[in-house]
Amino acid sequence: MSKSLYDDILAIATEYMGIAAEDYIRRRIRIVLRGEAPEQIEVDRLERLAAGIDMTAKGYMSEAKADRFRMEILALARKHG
Amino acid sequence: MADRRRRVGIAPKLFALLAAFCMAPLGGLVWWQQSAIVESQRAQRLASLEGLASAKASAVDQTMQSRRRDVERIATLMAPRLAAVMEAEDTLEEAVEPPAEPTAPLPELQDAEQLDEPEEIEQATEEPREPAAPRPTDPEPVASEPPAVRRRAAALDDALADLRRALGLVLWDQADFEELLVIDSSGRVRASTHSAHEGRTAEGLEYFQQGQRATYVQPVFMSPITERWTMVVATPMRDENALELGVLAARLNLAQLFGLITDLSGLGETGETVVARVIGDELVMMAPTRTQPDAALTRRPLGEVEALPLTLAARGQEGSGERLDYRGQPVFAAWRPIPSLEWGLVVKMDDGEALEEAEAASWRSVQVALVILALALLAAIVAARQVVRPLRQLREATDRLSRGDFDVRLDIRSRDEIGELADSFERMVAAIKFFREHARPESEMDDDSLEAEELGLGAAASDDDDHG
Repeated sequence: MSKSLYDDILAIATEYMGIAAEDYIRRRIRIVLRGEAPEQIEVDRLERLAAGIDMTAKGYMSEAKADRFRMEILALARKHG
Repeated sequence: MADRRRRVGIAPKLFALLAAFCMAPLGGLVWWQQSAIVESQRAQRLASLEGLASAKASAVDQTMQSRRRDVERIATLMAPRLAAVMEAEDTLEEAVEPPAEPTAPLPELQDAEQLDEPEEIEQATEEPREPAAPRPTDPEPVASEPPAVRRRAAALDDALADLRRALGLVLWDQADFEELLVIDSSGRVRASTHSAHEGRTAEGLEYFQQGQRATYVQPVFMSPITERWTMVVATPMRDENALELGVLAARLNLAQLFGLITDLSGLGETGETVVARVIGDELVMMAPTRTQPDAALTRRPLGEVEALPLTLAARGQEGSGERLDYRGQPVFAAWRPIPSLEWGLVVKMDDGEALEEAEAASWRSVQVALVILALALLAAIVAARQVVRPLRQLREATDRLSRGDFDVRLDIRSRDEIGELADSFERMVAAIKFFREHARPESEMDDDSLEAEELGLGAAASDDDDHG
Protein backbone atom coordinates (compact mmCIF):
# COMPACT_ATOMS: atom_id res chain seq x y z
CA MET A 1 0.00 0.00 0.00
CA SER A 2 1.48 3.30 -1.08
CA LYS A 3 1.92 6.04 1.46
CA SER A 4 -0.28 9.13 1.45
CA LEU A 5 1.12 12.49 0.40
CA TYR A 6 1.09 13.60 4.02
CA ASP A 7 3.16 10.58 5.08
CA ASP A 8 5.71 11.27 2.37
CA ILE A 9 5.93 14.94 3.39
CA LEU A 10 6.41 13.90 7.01
CA ALA A 11 9.12 11.41 6.07
CA ILE A 12 11.02 14.08 4.18
CA ALA A 13 10.61 16.57 7.01
CA THR A 14 11.90 14.04 9.52
CA GLU A 15 15.16 13.89 7.56
CA TYR A 16 15.64 17.60 8.12
CA MET A 17 13.91 18.41 11.38
CA GLY A 18 14.16 15.18 13.35
CA ILE A 19 11.80 14.95 16.29
CA ALA A 20 10.35 18.40 15.49
CA ALA A 21 9.36 17.35 11.98
CA GLU A 22 5.71 16.47 12.68
CA ASP A 23 4.95 19.63 14.64
CA TYR A 24 6.74 21.75 12.07
CA ILE A 25 5.08 20.22 9.04
CA ARG A 26 1.62 20.19 10.54
CA ARG A 27 1.95 23.90 11.28
CA ARG A 28 3.03 24.58 7.70
CA ILE A 29 0.24 22.51 6.18
CA ARG A 30 -2.47 24.00 8.44
CA ILE A 31 -1.47 27.45 7.28
CA VAL A 32 -1.53 26.31 3.67
CA LEU A 33 -4.89 24.53 4.03
CA ARG A 34 -6.39 27.22 6.22
CA GLY A 35 -7.95 25.04 8.89
CA GLU A 36 -8.27 21.69 7.20
CA ALA A 37 -6.62 18.65 8.72
CA PRO A 38 -2.99 18.41 7.54
CA GLU A 39 -3.57 14.80 6.41
CA GLN A 40 -5.95 16.20 3.73
CA ILE A 41 -3.25 18.01 1.82
CA GLU A 42 -3.36 17.57 -1.94
CA VAL A 43 -0.73 17.87 -4.63
CA ASP A 44 -1.95 21.27 -5.78
CA ARG A 45 -0.98 22.69 -2.41
CA LEU A 46 2.59 21.48 -2.53
CA GLU A 47 3.91 24.59 -4.16
CA ARG A 48 2.61 26.80 -1.39
CA LEU A 49 3.87 24.38 1.21
CA ALA A 50 7.32 24.48 -0.43
CA ALA A 51 7.24 28.26 -0.39
CA GLY A 52 6.46 28.20 3.34
CA ILE A 53 9.28 25.78 3.94
CA ASP A 54 11.63 27.94 1.93
CA MET A 55 10.66 30.88 4.07
CA THR A 56 10.93 29.23 7.48
CA ALA A 57 13.39 26.30 7.28
CA LYS A 58 16.37 28.59 6.83
CA GLY A 59 15.93 29.55 10.45
CA TYR A 60 16.71 26.05 11.55
CA MET A 61 19.28 24.84 9.08
CA SER A 62 21.68 25.98 6.42
CA GLU A 63 20.33 27.53 3.25
CA ALA A 64 21.58 24.67 1.18
CA LYS A 65 19.74 22.18 3.33
CA ALA A 66 16.59 24.26 3.37
CA ASP A 67 16.74 24.45 -0.40
CA ARG A 68 17.14 20.68 -0.70
CA PHE A 69 14.19 20.30 1.73
CA ARG A 70 12.01 22.47 -0.48
CA MET A 71 13.05 20.68 -3.66
CA GLU A 72 12.23 17.28 -2.20
CA ILE A 73 8.77 18.49 -1.20
CA LEU A 74 8.16 19.81 -4.71
CA ALA A 75 9.36 16.53 -6.17
CA LEU A 76 6.42 14.78 -4.48
CA ALA A 77 4.17 16.39 -7.08
CA ARG A 78 5.59 14.02 -9.69
CA LYS A 79 5.00 11.00 -7.49
CA HIS A 80 1.47 11.90 -6.42
CA GLY A 81 0.46 13.92 -9.50
CA MET B 1 37.45 19.56 30.85
CA ALA B 2 37.71 17.50 27.74
CA ASP B 3 41.08 19.03 26.95
CA ARG B 4 42.37 18.30 30.42
CA ARG B 5 41.33 14.66 30.21
CA ARG B 6 42.77 14.13 26.80
CA ARG B 7 46.21 12.65 26.80
CA VAL B 8 46.73 11.70 23.13
CA GLY B 9 44.62 13.05 20.30
CA ILE B 10 42.92 10.96 17.66
CA ALA B 11 45.20 12.31 14.93
CA PRO B 12 48.45 11.02 16.44
CA LYS B 13 46.75 7.76 17.34
CA LEU B 14 45.44 7.32 13.84
CA PHE B 15 48.78 8.35 12.39
CA ALA B 16 50.64 5.91 14.62
CA LEU B 17 48.19 3.16 13.78
CA LEU B 18 48.42 3.70 10.04
CA ALA B 19 52.18 4.11 10.16
CA ALA B 20 52.54 0.94 12.21
CA PHE B 21 50.30 -0.97 9.83
CA CYS B 22 52.41 0.28 6.98
CA MET B 23 55.83 -0.07 8.57
CA ALA B 24 55.39 -3.53 10.03
CA PRO B 25 54.56 -5.30 6.77
CA LEU B 26 56.92 -3.13 4.79
CA GLY B 27 59.78 -3.83 7.18
CA GLY B 28 58.97 -7.52 7.10
CA LEU B 29 58.79 -7.47 3.35
CA VAL B 30 62.12 -5.70 2.99
CA TRP B 31 63.78 -8.06 5.48
CA TRP B 32 62.36 -11.09 3.71
CA GLN B 33 63.33 -9.75 0.32
CA GLN B 34 66.86 -8.92 1.45
CA SER B 35 67.30 -12.37 2.93
CA ALA B 36 65.99 -13.93 -0.26
CA ILE B 37 68.25 -11.78 -2.43
CA VAL B 38 71.36 -12.52 -0.37
CA GLU B 39 70.56 -16.22 -0.19
CA SER B 40 69.87 -16.35 -3.90
CA GLN B 41 73.07 -14.47 -4.70
CA ARG B 42 75.05 -16.73 -2.37
CA ALA B 43 73.69 -19.86 -4.02
CA GLN B 44 74.14 -18.40 -7.47
CA ARG B 45 77.72 -17.34 -6.76
CA LEU B 46 78.66 -20.71 -5.30
CA ALA B 47 77.06 -22.50 -8.23
CA SER B 48 78.98 -20.29 -10.63
CA LEU B 49 82.28 -20.92 -8.80
CA GLU B 50 81.54 -24.65 -8.68
CA GLY B 51 80.95 -24.65 -12.42
CA LEU B 52 84.20 -22.82 -13.03
CA ALA B 53 86.16 -25.05 -10.64
CA SER B 54 84.79 -28.22 -12.20
CA ALA B 55 85.46 -26.96 -15.71
CA LYS B 56 88.99 -25.85 -14.90
CA ALA B 57 89.91 -28.96 -12.93
CA SER B 58 88.55 -31.11 -15.70
CA ALA B 59 90.35 -29.11 -18.39
CA VAL B 60 93.67 -29.23 -16.51
CA ASP B 61 93.23 -32.93 -15.83
CA GLN B 62 92.41 -33.69 -19.45
CA THR B 63 95.28 -31.54 -20.66
CA MET B 64 97.72 -33.39 -18.46
CA GLN B 65 96.34 -36.77 -19.45
CA SER B 66 96.62 -35.73 -23.05
CA ARG B 67 100.24 -34.65 -22.54
CA ARG B 68 101.02 -37.98 -20.87
CA ARG B 69 99.51 -39.86 -23.79
CA ASP B 70 101.44 -37.67 -26.21
CA VAL B 71 104.70 -38.40 -24.43
CA GLU B 72 103.97 -42.13 -24.37
CA ARG B 73 103.18 -42.05 -28.08
CA ILE B 74 106.35 -40.12 -28.85
CA ALA B 75 108.34 -42.61 -26.77
CA THR B 76 106.93 -45.41 -28.89
CA LEU B 77 107.91 -43.54 -32.03
CA MET B 78 111.41 -42.77 -30.79
CA ALA B 79 112.24 -46.18 -29.34
CA PRO B 80 113.33 -47.79 -32.67
CA ARG B 81 115.50 -44.77 -33.42
CA LEU B 82 117.14 -44.93 -30.01
CA ALA B 83 117.67 -48.66 -30.55
CA ALA B 84 119.34 -47.87 -33.89
CA VAL B 85 121.61 -45.31 -32.22
CA MET B 86 122.59 -47.74 -29.52
CA GLU B 87 123.21 -50.48 -32.01
CA ALA B 88 125.38 -48.19 -34.14
CA GLU B 89 127.21 -47.09 -31.06
CA ASP B 90 127.85 -50.68 -29.98
CA THR B 91 129.24 -51.41 -33.42
CA LEU B 92 131.47 -48.37 -33.27
CA GLU B 93 132.65 -49.17 -29.78
CA GLU B 94 133.92 -52.48 -30.97
CA ALA B 95 136.31 -50.56 -33.26
CA VAL B 96 137.33 -47.55 -31.19
CA GLU B 97 138.02 -46.56 -27.63
CA PRO B 98 134.95 -46.27 -25.41
CA PRO B 99 133.57 -42.76 -25.33
CA ALA B 100 134.28 -40.47 -22.46
CA GLU B 101 131.86 -40.67 -19.55
CA PRO B 102 129.48 -37.75 -19.45
CA THR B 103 130.88 -35.10 -17.25
CA ALA B 104 128.22 -32.42 -16.94
CA PRO B 105 124.79 -33.02 -15.42
CA LEU B 106 121.57 -31.65 -16.87
CA PRO B 107 120.62 -28.23 -15.48
CA GLU B 108 117.76 -29.81 -13.54
CA LEU B 109 120.30 -31.43 -11.24
CA GLN B 110 120.89 -27.94 -9.97
CA ASP B 111 117.25 -27.07 -9.96
CA ALA B 112 114.42 -29.53 -10.39
CA GLU B 113 115.44 -32.08 -7.84
CA GLN B 114 116.65 -29.52 -5.39
CA LEU B 115 113.99 -26.90 -5.93
CA ASP B 116 112.66 -27.51 -2.52
CA GLU B 117 113.52 -24.00 -1.46
CA PRO B 118 112.39 -21.01 -3.53
CA GLU B 119 115.80 -19.37 -3.34
CA GLU B 120 117.22 -22.36 -5.11
CA ILE B 121 114.98 -21.64 -8.02
CA GLU B 122 116.63 -18.32 -8.47
CA GLN B 123 120.06 -19.85 -8.15
CA ALA B 124 119.17 -22.39 -10.74
CA THR B 125 117.80 -19.88 -13.15
CA GLU B 126 120.65 -17.49 -12.66
CA GLU B 127 123.32 -20.09 -12.96
CA PRO B 128 125.19 -19.68 -16.22
CA ARG B 129 124.75 -22.58 -18.51
CA GLU B 130 127.69 -24.80 -18.84
CA PRO B 131 128.99 -25.41 -22.28
CA ALA B 132 127.83 -28.67 -23.76
CA ALA B 133 129.93 -31.66 -22.85
CA PRO B 134 131.72 -33.19 -25.74
CA ARG B 135 129.30 -35.48 -27.48
CA PRO B 136 130.47 -39.02 -26.94
CA THR B 137 129.42 -39.83 -30.42
CA ASP B 138 131.06 -36.88 -32.05
CA PRO B 139 133.35 -38.18 -34.74
CA GLU B 140 136.90 -38.64 -33.72
CA PRO B 141 139.56 -37.07 -35.84
CA VAL B 142 139.37 -39.09 -38.95
CA ALA B 143 142.86 -38.73 -40.33
CA SER B 144 144.20 -41.81 -38.57
CA GLU B 145 140.95 -43.87 -38.52
CA PRO B 146 140.61 -46.87 -40.68
CA PRO B 147 137.75 -46.83 -43.20
CA ALA B 148 135.65 -49.35 -41.21
CA VAL B 149 135.66 -47.06 -38.17
CA ARG B 150 134.71 -44.07 -40.29
CA ARG B 151 131.81 -46.03 -41.80
CA ARG B 152 130.60 -47.05 -38.36
CA ALA B 153 130.98 -43.52 -37.05
CA ALA B 154 129.04 -42.25 -40.06
CA ALA B 155 126.30 -44.83 -39.40
CA LEU B 156 126.09 -43.66 -35.80
CA ASP B 157 125.91 -40.05 -36.94
CA ASP B 158 123.11 -40.96 -39.30
CA ALA B 159 121.19 -42.76 -36.55
CA LEU B 160 121.63 -39.82 -34.21
CA ALA B 161 120.67 -37.37 -36.90
CA ASP B 162 117.52 -39.39 -37.56
CA LEU B 163 116.67 -39.38 -33.88
CA ARG B 164 117.30 -35.63 -33.58
CA ARG B 165 115.31 -34.93 -36.73
CA ALA B 166 112.39 -36.97 -35.45
CA LEU B 167 112.50 -35.18 -32.10
CA GLY B 168 112.70 -31.83 -33.86
CA LEU B 169 109.71 -32.64 -36.03
CA VAL B 170 107.65 -33.66 -33.03
CA LEU B 171 108.65 -30.52 -31.15
CA TRP B 172 107.81 -28.40 -34.18
CA ASP B 173 104.45 -30.14 -34.45
CA GLN B 174 103.64 -30.04 -30.75
CA ALA B 175 103.64 -26.57 -29.30
CA ASP B 176 102.90 -28.08 -25.91
CA PHE B 177 106.54 -29.10 -25.37
CA GLU B 178 109.55 -26.89 -24.99
CA GLU B 179 112.13 -29.68 -25.06
CA LEU B 180 112.23 -33.39 -25.77
CA LEU B 181 115.06 -35.52 -24.44
CA VAL B 182 115.96 -39.08 -25.17
CA ILE B 183 117.93 -40.48 -22.28
CA ASP B 184 119.51 -43.90 -22.45
CA SER B 185 119.28 -46.41 -19.65
CA SER B 186 122.57 -45.19 -18.15
CA GLY B 187 121.10 -41.72 -17.72
CA ARG B 188 123.00 -40.08 -20.55
CA VAL B 189 121.09 -37.69 -22.78
CA ARG B 190 121.48 -39.16 -26.23
CA ALA B 191 119.44 -36.64 -28.12
CA SER B 192 117.65 -33.47 -27.27
CA THR B 193 115.89 -30.69 -29.10
CA HIS B 194 118.12 -28.47 -27.01
CA SER B 195 121.51 -29.59 -28.37
CA ALA B 196 123.48 -28.19 -25.42
CA HIS B 197 121.93 -30.89 -23.24
CA GLU B 198 123.15 -33.82 -25.32
CA GLY B 199 125.81 -35.84 -23.62
CA ARG B 200 124.87 -34.66 -20.19
CA THR B 201 123.70 -37.00 -17.49
CA ALA B 202 120.21 -37.22 -16.05
CA GLU B 203 121.08 -40.12 -13.79
CA GLY B 204 120.37 -38.29 -10.57
CA LEU B 205 117.11 -36.78 -11.70
CA GLU B 206 113.90 -38.00 -10.20
CA TYR B 207 112.03 -37.93 -13.48
CA PHE B 208 114.67 -40.16 -15.03
CA GLN B 209 114.57 -42.60 -12.13
CA GLN B 210 110.79 -42.64 -11.94
CA GLY B 211 110.39 -42.54 -15.70
CA GLN B 212 112.29 -45.79 -16.08
CA ARG B 213 109.46 -47.59 -14.30
CA ALA B 214 106.35 -45.83 -15.59
CA THR B 215 105.12 -42.54 -16.91
CA TYR B 216 105.92 -39.91 -14.35
CA VAL B 217 105.02 -36.26 -14.03
CA GLN B 218 107.60 -34.10 -12.32
CA PRO B 219 106.04 -31.22 -10.37
CA VAL B 220 106.42 -27.66 -11.53
CA PHE B 221 109.86 -26.13 -11.50
CA MET B 222 111.59 -23.20 -13.12
CA SER B 223 113.05 -24.17 -16.46
CA PRO B 224 116.74 -23.33 -16.66
CA ILE B 225 116.36 -23.16 -20.43
CA THR B 226 113.40 -20.85 -20.80
CA GLU B 227 113.36 -19.41 -17.33
CA ARG B 228 109.67 -20.17 -17.23
CA TRP B 229 107.74 -22.57 -15.07
CA THR B 230 107.77 -26.04 -16.51
CA MET B 231 107.01 -29.66 -15.77
CA VAL B 232 108.60 -32.81 -17.09
CA VAL B 233 106.72 -35.87 -18.19
CA ALA B 234 109.00 -38.89 -18.44
CA THR B 235 108.09 -42.31 -19.76
CA PRO B 236 110.02 -45.52 -20.42
CA MET B 237 111.26 -46.31 -23.91
CA ARG B 238 111.26 -49.99 -24.73
CA ASP B 239 112.13 -51.99 -27.81
CA GLU B 240 109.84 -54.48 -29.50
CA ASN B 241 110.85 -57.08 -26.91
CA ALA B 242 109.89 -54.73 -24.07
CA LEU B 243 113.51 -54.36 -23.09
CA GLU B 244 114.30 -51.05 -21.50
CA LEU B 245 116.17 -48.67 -23.77
CA GLY B 246 115.90 -45.48 -21.84
CA VAL B 247 113.54 -42.69 -20.98
CA LEU B 248 111.82 -40.09 -23.07
CA ALA B 249 111.46 -36.87 -21.11
CA ALA B 250 109.41 -33.92 -22.27
CA ARG B 251 109.55 -30.50 -20.73
CA LEU B 252 106.06 -29.09 -21.00
CA ASN B 253 105.22 -25.64 -22.15
CA LEU B 254 102.87 -24.62 -19.36
CA ALA B 255 101.52 -21.55 -21.11
CA GLN B 256 98.28 -23.31 -22.01
CA LEU B 257 97.95 -24.96 -18.61
CA PHE B 258 98.68 -21.79 -16.70
CA GLY B 259 96.46 -19.93 -19.12
CA LEU B 260 93.61 -22.17 -18.03
CA ILE B 261 94.44 -21.69 -14.38
CA THR B 262 95.05 -17.98 -14.42
CA ASP B 263 92.12 -17.15 -16.68
CA LEU B 264 90.01 -14.66 -14.77
CA SER B 265 86.83 -14.89 -16.82
CA GLY B 266 83.83 -14.71 -14.54
CA LEU B 267 85.97 -13.96 -11.50
CA GLY B 268 85.39 -10.23 -11.23
CA GLU B 269 87.91 -7.98 -9.56
CA THR B 270 88.99 -10.24 -6.70
CA GLY B 271 88.47 -13.75 -7.99
CA GLU B 272 91.31 -16.11 -8.80
CA THR B 273 92.21 -19.73 -9.31
CA VAL B 274 94.78 -21.34 -7.09
CA VAL B 275 96.44 -24.74 -7.43
CA ALA B 276 98.55 -26.53 -4.89
CA ARG B 277 99.86 -29.92 -4.00
CA VAL B 278 100.59 -31.60 -0.72
CA ILE B 279 104.25 -32.63 -0.65
CA GLY B 280 105.31 -34.21 2.59
CA ASP B 281 103.95 -32.10 5.38
CA GLU B 282 103.71 -28.96 3.30
CA LEU B 283 101.23 -27.39 0.95
CA VAL B 284 103.06 -26.21 -2.15
CA MET B 285 101.50 -23.68 -4.50
CA MET B 286 101.87 -24.87 -8.06
CA ALA B 287 101.16 -21.75 -10.08
CA PRO B 288 101.21 -17.99 -9.74
CA THR B 289 98.07 -16.39 -8.38
CA ARG B 290 96.38 -13.15 -9.28
CA THR B 291 97.47 -11.43 -6.11
CA GLN B 292 100.85 -13.14 -5.79
CA PRO B 293 102.60 -13.57 -9.14
CA ASP B 294 105.54 -15.22 -7.37
CA ALA B 295 103.37 -17.69 -5.48
CA ALA B 296 104.50 -20.76 -7.43
CA LEU B 297 106.41 -23.22 -5.27
CA THR B 298 105.82 -21.23 -2.10
CA ARG B 299 105.29 -23.60 0.79
CA ARG B 300 103.26 -23.55 3.95
CA PRO B 301 103.23 -26.13 6.71
CA LEU B 302 100.12 -28.28 6.55
CA GLY B 303 99.44 -27.63 10.20
CA GLU B 304 98.69 -23.99 9.38
CA VAL B 305 96.50 -24.64 6.39
CA GLU B 306 94.73 -27.87 7.28
CA ALA B 307 91.25 -26.35 6.93
CA LEU B 308 91.89 -24.37 3.76
CA PRO B 309 89.87 -25.32 0.70
CA LEU B 310 93.20 -25.65 -1.13
CA THR B 311 94.38 -28.32 1.29
CA LEU B 312 91.07 -30.14 1.10
CA ALA B 313 91.23 -30.13 -2.69
CA ALA B 314 94.87 -31.26 -2.71
CA ARG B 315 93.78 -34.14 -0.51
CA GLY B 316 91.25 -35.19 -3.12
CA GLN B 317 88.11 -33.61 -1.71
CA GLU B 318 85.67 -31.40 -3.52
CA GLY B 319 83.15 -28.89 -2.21
CA SER B 320 82.15 -25.27 -1.97
CA GLY B 321 81.29 -22.71 0.64
CA GLU B 322 82.32 -19.59 2.45
CA ARG B 323 85.81 -20.13 3.86
CA LEU B 324 89.05 -18.38 4.62
CA ASP B 325 91.56 -18.53 1.79
CA TYR B 326 95.35 -18.87 1.89
CA ARG B 327 95.61 -15.14 2.69
CA GLY B 328 93.21 -15.47 5.60
CA GLN B 329 90.52 -13.54 3.73
CA PRO B 330 86.87 -14.66 3.83
CA VAL B 331 85.96 -15.87 0.36
CA PHE B 332 83.35 -17.76 -1.58
CA ALA B 333 85.20 -20.80 -2.87
CA ALA B 334 84.72 -24.00 -4.81
CA TRP B 335 87.42 -26.64 -4.72
CA ARG B 336 88.14 -29.68 -6.84
CA PRO B 337 91.00 -32.19 -7.05
CA ILE B 338 93.04 -32.73 -10.22
CA PRO B 339 93.77 -36.46 -9.98
CA SER B 340 96.33 -36.71 -12.79
CA LEU B 341 98.58 -34.17 -11.07
CA GLU B 342 97.56 -34.85 -7.46
CA TRP B 343 96.82 -31.14 -7.29
CA GLY B 344 93.99 -29.32 -5.66
CA LEU B 345 92.30 -26.46 -7.48
CA VAL B 346 90.32 -23.66 -5.84
CA VAL B 347 88.27 -21.04 -7.62
CA LYS B 348 87.38 -18.26 -5.25
CA MET B 349 86.16 -14.70 -4.92
CA ASP B 350 86.27 -12.28 -2.00
CA ASP B 351 82.95 -12.35 -0.19
CA GLY B 352 82.52 -8.58 -0.50
CA GLU B 353 82.48 -8.80 -4.26
CA ALA B 354 80.60 -12.09 -4.29
CA LEU B 355 77.67 -10.43 -2.52
CA GLU B 356 78.09 -7.05 -4.17
CA GLU B 357 75.08 -7.48 -6.44
CA ALA B 358 72.96 -8.72 -3.57
CA GLU B 359 73.93 -5.73 -1.48
CA ALA B 360 73.15 -3.39 -4.36
CA ALA B 361 69.77 -5.07 -4.87
CA SER B 362 69.09 -4.91 -1.13
CA TRP B 363 69.91 -1.23 -1.08
CA ARG B 364 67.58 -0.64 -4.03
CA SER B 365 64.78 -2.46 -2.20
CA VAL B 366 65.46 -0.38 0.91
CA GLN B 367 65.26 2.78 -1.18
CA VAL B 368 61.95 1.67 -2.69
CA ALA B 369 60.71 0.77 0.78
CA LEU B 370 61.70 4.20 2.10
CA VAL B 371 59.81 5.88 -0.73
CA ILE B 372 56.76 3.70 -0.05
CA LEU B 373 57.08 4.45 3.65
CA ALA B 374 57.27 8.19 3.02
CA LEU B 375 54.17 8.00 0.82
CA ALA B 376 52.42 5.87 3.40
CA LEU B 377 53.27 8.34 6.18
CA LEU B 378 51.99 11.17 4.01
CA ALA B 379 48.80 9.20 3.38
CA ALA B 380 48.52 8.52 7.10
CA ILE B 381 48.81 12.24 7.85
CA VAL B 382 46.16 13.10 5.25
CA ALA B 383 43.86 10.31 6.44
CA ALA B 384 44.26 11.33 10.06
CA ARG B 385 43.47 14.94 9.21
CA GLN B 386 40.43 13.94 7.16
CA VAL B 387 39.04 12.06 10.10
CA VAL B 388 39.96 14.58 12.75
CA ARG B 389 38.93 17.82 11.04
CA PRO B 390 35.16 17.06 10.88
CA LEU B 391 35.31 15.59 14.37
CA ARG B 392 36.88 18.80 15.57
CA GLN B 393 34.10 20.81 13.87
CA LEU B 394 31.48 18.65 15.50
CA ARG B 395 33.14 19.00 18.86
CA GLU B 396 33.25 22.79 18.52
CA ALA B 397 29.61 22.93 17.33
CA THR B 398 28.48 20.77 20.23
CA ASP B 399 30.44 22.99 22.57
CA ARG B 400 28.71 26.12 21.20
CA LEU B 401 25.34 24.44 21.39
CA SER B 402 25.93 23.46 25.00
CA ARG B 403 26.69 27.11 25.75
CA GLY B 404 23.39 28.26 24.22
CA ASP B 405 24.57 29.25 20.79
CA PHE B 406 22.05 27.59 18.49
CA ASP B 407 23.22 29.30 15.37
CA VAL B 408 25.76 26.63 14.54
CA ARG B 409 26.59 25.54 11.02
CA LEU B 410 28.73 22.60 9.99
CA ASP B 411 30.77 22.45 6.82
CA ILE B 412 31.00 18.69 6.56
CA ARG B 413 30.21 17.22 3.17
CA SER B 414 31.61 13.74 3.48
CA ARG B 415 29.27 10.90 2.68
CA ASP B 416 30.65 8.50 5.23
CA GLU B 417 29.76 7.85 8.86
CA ILE B 418 31.13 11.23 9.86
CA GLY B 419 28.88 12.88 7.26
CA GLU B 420 25.92 10.98 8.69
CA LEU B 421 26.91 12.05 12.18
CA ALA B 422 27.00 15.67 11.01
CA ASP B 423 23.54 15.26 9.44
CA SER B 424 22.15 13.87 12.67
CA PHE B 425 23.72 16.72 14.60
CA GLU B 426 22.17 19.31 12.29
CA ARG B 427 18.80 17.59 12.54
CA MET B 428 19.08 17.71 16.31
CA VAL B 429 20.00 21.40 16.23
CA ALA B 430 17.07 22.14 13.90
CA ALA B 431 14.66 20.34 16.24
CA ILE B 432 16.01 22.13 19.33
CA LYS B 433 15.75 25.50 17.63
CA PHE B 434 12.23 24.76 16.46
CA PHE B 435 11.03 23.67 19.90
CA ARG B 436 12.67 26.66 21.53
CA GLU B 437 10.79 28.98 19.20
CA HIS B 438 7.48 27.16 19.37
CA ALA B 439 6.83 26.49 23.02
CA ARG B 440 3.17 25.53 22.42
CA PRO B 441 2.50 22.40 20.42
CA GLU B 442 0.68 22.81 17.14
CA SER B 443 -2.29 20.75 18.40
CA GLU B 444 -3.03 23.26 21.14
CA MET B 445 -3.18 26.28 18.84
CA ASP B 446 -6.10 27.56 16.79
CA ASP B 447 -5.60 28.53 13.19
CA ASP B 448 -5.42 32.28 13.76
CA SER B 449 -2.83 32.18 16.50
CA LEU B 450 -0.88 29.60 14.53
CA GLU B 451 -0.83 31.78 11.43
CA ALA B 452 0.05 34.83 13.47
CA GLU B 453 2.94 33.01 15.07
CA GLU B 454 4.11 31.59 11.80
CA LEU B 455 3.87 34.90 10.03
CA GLY B 456 5.93 36.45 12.80
CA LEU B 457 8.47 33.74 12.48
CA GLY B 458 8.39 33.99 8.72
CA ALA B 459 9.02 37.70 8.97
CA ALA B 460 11.91 37.02 11.31
CA ALA B 461 13.28 34.38 8.94
CA SER B 462 12.85 36.79 6.04
CA ASP B 463 14.74 39.43 7.96
CA ASP B 464 17.48 36.92 8.63
CA ASP B 465 17.62 36.08 4.96
CA ASP B 466 17.79 39.70 4.01
CA HIS B 467 20.70 40.22 6.33
CA GLY B 468 22.56 37.41 5.39
